[in-house]
Amino acid sequence: MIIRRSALVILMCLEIMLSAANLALVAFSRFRLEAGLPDYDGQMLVFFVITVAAAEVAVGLAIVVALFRSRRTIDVTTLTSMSH
Amino acid sequence: MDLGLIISSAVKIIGFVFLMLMPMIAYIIWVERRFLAIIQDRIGPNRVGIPWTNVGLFGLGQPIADGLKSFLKEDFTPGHVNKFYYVIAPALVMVPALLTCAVLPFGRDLVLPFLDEPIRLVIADLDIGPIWIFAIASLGVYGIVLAGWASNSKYPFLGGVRATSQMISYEISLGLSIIPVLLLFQHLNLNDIVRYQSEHGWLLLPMWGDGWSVQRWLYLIPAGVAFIIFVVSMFAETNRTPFDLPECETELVAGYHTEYGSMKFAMFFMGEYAAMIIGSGLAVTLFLGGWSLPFGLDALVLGVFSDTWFSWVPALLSTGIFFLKIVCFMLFFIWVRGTLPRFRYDQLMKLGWIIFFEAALANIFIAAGILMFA
Amino acid sequence: MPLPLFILFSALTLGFAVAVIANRNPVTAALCLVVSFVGLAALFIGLSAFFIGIVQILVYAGAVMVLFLFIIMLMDIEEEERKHFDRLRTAGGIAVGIGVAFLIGGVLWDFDYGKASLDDVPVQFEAAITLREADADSGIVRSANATAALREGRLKDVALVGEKLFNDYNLHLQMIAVLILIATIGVVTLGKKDSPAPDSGSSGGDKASES
Repeated sequence: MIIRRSALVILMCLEIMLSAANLALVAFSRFRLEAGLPDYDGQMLVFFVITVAAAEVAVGLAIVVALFRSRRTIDVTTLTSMSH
Repeated sequence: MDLGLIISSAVKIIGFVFLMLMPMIAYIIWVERRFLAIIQDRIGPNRVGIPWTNVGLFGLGQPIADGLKSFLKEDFTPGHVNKFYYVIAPALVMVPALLTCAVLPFGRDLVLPFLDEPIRLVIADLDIGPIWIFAIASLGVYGIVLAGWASNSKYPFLGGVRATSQMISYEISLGLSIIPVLLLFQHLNLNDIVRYQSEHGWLLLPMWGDGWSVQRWLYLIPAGVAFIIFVVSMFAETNRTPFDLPECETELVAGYHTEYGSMKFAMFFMGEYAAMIIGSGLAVTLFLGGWSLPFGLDALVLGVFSDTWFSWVPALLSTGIFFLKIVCFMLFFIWVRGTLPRFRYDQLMKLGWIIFFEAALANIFIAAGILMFA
Repeated sequence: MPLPLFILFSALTLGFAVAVIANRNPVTAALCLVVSFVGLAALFIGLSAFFIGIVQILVYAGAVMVLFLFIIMLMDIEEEERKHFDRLRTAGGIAVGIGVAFLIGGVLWDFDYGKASLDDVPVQFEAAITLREADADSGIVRSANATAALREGRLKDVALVGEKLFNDYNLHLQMIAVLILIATIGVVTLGKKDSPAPDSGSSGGDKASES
């Protein structure tokens, strides 16, 4: 957000952040054995995060396309009409 | 890691990919040209045989000559392209296509007299076979998209855009169509699936073992629908006629590979055929019993070669059967190419989204109903 | 997972994730993210979460990033120009970065490396089998398929995930399905206006089918 202004790249960075959380969840689910097996509760959360993130990207991209159609730009710093 | 695993994996990779798959890609192109020629009442490539002699060998030297030609041609890169992506795009088509073959079982467990454990004739014996194939095959889109984009000219771009939307649309019906199959087998390991079919009847030919039950015969309905959806979606996924819109020459010159020549073009070509062979392999494995013989003949073969010194014969035989089935399937591919005209693009999208998607969803419910109540 | 492979894949994941942020060409950024996700999937598989790893490739690398690339190509987005940084904001960002680095460093400093390897926490097959059989006897649904695989010493990840999903998280799964349906409808409405949006709906449909 600080150095990138393209809405698309911001969406991508969001995915990276979610993936970091996913990696932590999967790692802990493997190291915390439950009944002798990896703790699948953690992996369930990862599964749901992946599904919701995919839906979120679809909606986000649709918004970006709509934005590009009306403004011809996706630079987030130029979208200031609400602040005046 | 133990050394035995590494050695056996290396031998399997070299044997399966480089000694079986690659020559098959080369020769299936020759077979396609000859077979199409027969369909269209021509002769096809029949001259190239042994050099400097008059021996023609039905043109069997054609693939070698073609390969040499691609290698020796000048590797020309147009000035207006995005160099980096232009160069890696062909590799990105080829690599996923070859990676997917890792989970295809190409034969019964090989029992060697001097080894304690049987060798499984599959490169990676994963418990998630079909999902792995879909996941890696979906990476093949990038090669085509990048080829279209990096070429920086309008026809390749249109071809790339068409290919992308076509492939992500048909991936859905492809994935949904095999769910009834997995519901019946309850395995995701392709080797287990084939072994089950060898003992209990192929999915589309349940005529031995306990395949005579009413449930299995009723199950032919969802299995048949799944097979049709799967095969047609596979045609769309591999950009084959009648769905070769991304490269249709009447509209787009040559689609996404218009700007490519010599070995780079040959890579696209080989990637496409590799994807076709793997696709046929998956169809054969899921629906037509993979490496197994029909009518319970497998048990007979095992009985005949039960002697320790001939215990490797059933494995080799099953590999031969697997490749025979793939070749038959490829002939079907070529036959369709010689028979059907090309679809219009909107028809293709309508078929994928409105007919196949819904049909595959309904099919899952029918299959689950039969499994529950019959 | 052997240590060299772990180092390779984590370097791949982290390096290309940084490249996503550092690159100004959106196509390059998207492709770097794909490589990063493939590395991450390999890490998941190394943690014996096969299903999650493959779903990561299937959904992120196979569907979501193709969608990104598609939008980038269709809208013909050029490289961002280099812009002046707001001094105050840059300083703030660096400060936060240093703070997080200290935090992670502190955690790593205190970490008990005695149990840092997967070999120290092996899957206990015998215990798992006995527990699952007891569960199955007392009427809790347990996949016989997965138990049989455990008996052979294989961790049949997909069956175990499915068991958990449909036993304990069934309601959540249905909620996700409704959410995806709503998202699909929303995307179609957003994209419909003048010309149909380039295939934005497909991702929603894709996910709906997977769950």
